[in-house]
Amino acid sequence: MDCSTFLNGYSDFRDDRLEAGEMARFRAHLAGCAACARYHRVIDEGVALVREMPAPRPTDSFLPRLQHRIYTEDERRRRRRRLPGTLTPPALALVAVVGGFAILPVLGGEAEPLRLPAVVATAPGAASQSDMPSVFGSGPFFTPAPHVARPPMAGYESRPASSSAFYFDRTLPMAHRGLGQLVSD
Amino acid sequence: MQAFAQNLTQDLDRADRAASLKAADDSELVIRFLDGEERAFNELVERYNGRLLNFVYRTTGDRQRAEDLVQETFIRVYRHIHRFDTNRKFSTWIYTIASNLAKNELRNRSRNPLVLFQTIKKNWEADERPLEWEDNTFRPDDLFRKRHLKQLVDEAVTHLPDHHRTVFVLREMEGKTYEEIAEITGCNLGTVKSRLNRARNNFAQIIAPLLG
Repeated sequence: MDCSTFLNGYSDFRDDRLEAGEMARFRAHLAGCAACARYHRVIDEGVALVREMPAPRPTDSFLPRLQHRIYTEDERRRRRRRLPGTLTPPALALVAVVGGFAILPVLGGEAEPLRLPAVVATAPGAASQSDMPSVFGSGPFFTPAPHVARPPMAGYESRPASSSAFYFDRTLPMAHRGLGQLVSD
Repeated sequence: MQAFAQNLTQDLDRADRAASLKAADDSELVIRFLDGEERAFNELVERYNGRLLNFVYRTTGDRQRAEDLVQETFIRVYRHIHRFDTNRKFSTWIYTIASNLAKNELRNRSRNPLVLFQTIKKNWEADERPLEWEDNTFRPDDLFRKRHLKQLVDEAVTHLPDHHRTVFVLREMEGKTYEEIAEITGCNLGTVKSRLNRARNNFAQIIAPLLG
C-alpha cells in the first residue's frame, strides 16, 4: 500500500469501517511509514485537544427568552384558530344553527304576514296638566291642526274618544304623521 | 395533618414524574409532550441546548449568533413536533434543523460579508503570536502550552471550509455516525466520507506545525 492509498482511505480506517483484511493492510502501512504514522498521530492529538475544549454554556437569559418565544408562538396559534377560515367546532355549530333559521322561511313555504301593534303613548300634557301650572292658563296645551285630523285606519287599535294620547298613523311618512294630534280633554 | 400528607403525596408525585422524564428516551418525551405533558418539552430543551450550542458555535464561530440559532431550532421543533415521526431518531431531526440554520447563516454571511469583532480579535492575536513564539527564551510551562495549543487547535477548526467543518464537528465533537451525518447534512454517504477525509487532511496540515 502506498501513502496516497492510505490517505484516501484514512477516514474509513480511523473510524473502523473497513473489513478485517483491509484494516490489517492499513495497520501494516502505518507501522512501516513514518510520514503516515506522524499524520495519524497529529490527527489523534488534535482531535483529543478539540474534544477537551469546554463547550459553551447557554447564557442565563437563554431559557427565559425561549420561554417567551414559545408563549408568543402559542399566542400566534390561538389567534390563527380564531380566524374565520379556521372556526372552532362550537363556532361552526352556531353558524349552522343561524344559517338553518335563515333558510327555514324559504323552505317552509308562505310566511304569515307580520302584524305590528299600534304604538300608544300617554301625552305629556295630560300627565302634567294636573300637577304642573300652565303658563297659558287652563286651556288646551296644543290645538290639533285640522288637516292632519283623520280617522284611524281599520285593523289598528282605535284611539279612545276621550283620552289624551298620541296616535301614530303608520301609513304616513314621518313628516305627515299626527305629531300635532294632541287632543285635549 | 391531612393537608401535610396531601402535599407530601403531591411532592412525591412530582418527583416521580420528573424522574420518569429523565429516564424517558427522546421519542417517548415527544409522545408525552404531544399528549399534553408540557414538562417533556423542557426536558428536551435541557438535553439538547448545550450540545446544539456547541455544534452551532463550532460551525458558525459566533457565540451570540449561535445562541439565537439554537433558540430558533427549538422554536421550529415546537412548531412542527406533531409532524415528527417517532420511529426516527429525534437527535438527528433536531441536528438537521440546527445544521440547516447554521448553513443559512454561513450563506448569508458570505453574501453580506460582515467583519465580526471576534474575527478582528482573532487576527489581531494571530499578528501578535509569532513574536511570542519566536522568542527562544520563552519557556511556557506545560499547562500554559496546552491551553495555548487548545486555542490554536480551536482556531484551526474555524479555518476549515464551511462544509468540511460541519462534517468534522459532527463526527469528531458530536460523535455522529456517517449515516447520521448524511441525514443531517442532506448529503449522500460518499460525500460525507470524502468531506470528512478532506476535513481531517486540512486539519492535520494546519495543526501539524503546532504539534511538532
